[in-house]
Amino acid sequence: MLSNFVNVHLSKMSAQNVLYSYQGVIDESITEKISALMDKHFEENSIPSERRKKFFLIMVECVQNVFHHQLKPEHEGQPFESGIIVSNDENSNYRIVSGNYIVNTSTKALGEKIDKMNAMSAEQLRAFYQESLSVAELSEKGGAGLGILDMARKSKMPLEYEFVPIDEHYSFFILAIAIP
Amino acid sequence: MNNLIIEESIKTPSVAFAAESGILELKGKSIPENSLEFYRPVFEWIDNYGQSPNSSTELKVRLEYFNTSSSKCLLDVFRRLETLSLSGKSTVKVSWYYDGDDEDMMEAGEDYSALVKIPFELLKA
Repeated sequence: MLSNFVNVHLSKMSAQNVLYSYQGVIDESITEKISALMDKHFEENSIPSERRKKFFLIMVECVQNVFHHQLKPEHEGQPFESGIIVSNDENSNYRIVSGNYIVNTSTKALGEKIDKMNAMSAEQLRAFYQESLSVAELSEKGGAGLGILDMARKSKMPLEYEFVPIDEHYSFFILAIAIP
Repeated sequence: MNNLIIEESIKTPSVAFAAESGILELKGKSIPENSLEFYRPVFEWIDNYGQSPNSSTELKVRLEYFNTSSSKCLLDVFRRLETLSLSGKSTVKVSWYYDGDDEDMMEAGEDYSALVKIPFELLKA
């Protein structure tokens, strides 16, 4: 079922150049693998170091966001742990797309949180970040609950998202971030 | 008291904390999935150092970039230094180095300086 989503998304981006696409359990080695692939691309296209840095920062945050939130191993054997990470390049406008399963009871709050961020100015996002950082607590897996906010702030463009309903318990959460 | 020396790795910065001089330095990238594992010995060292610190303490932050998991731990580092400063045992400052063009890292330094009551000096590296 998951591969359908990947295909849908890849076809949505069909006119565009997919730089890499990963599907499976997101573990601690993924950021390094993507970095290695992207280093090559950046070298070949002589991309300036500030843009590379911006891409890596948002990519790391995006991958770790899925890592921290992918559903727990009690669902092992079912596809619930699988995530996707895809990046594409349309005339050097980079975009990072992530996907992971989410329980239906979380979708409303998450959607509202992203809508709220998308409506904020850069200054408001910054104040909201400072406020959130000052009260942040790390989860057991090390998430600070700041990932999406940080990506919104660094991207400076609205985050696109979609919840694809799977069944009565689960949806698939797709998040797309434009890299300035 | 022993110095705290940790080598840089792909996802974690180098740590060079010298008890005698009161010069502490973090350098490199900080992007581990779970930053608490990495920063726990850093916290412990600062807590011990605070028992009998140098009369001045300077933390030099030379980070290229860090993730949000680390951002929380960095705030905890600064909060410990704030406690040390408030104890009156040591004059504390943070020197925050950033690449001239790196707006994100400059703003990050400003954000921390707004959240803790210790002097931050923002320096173009």
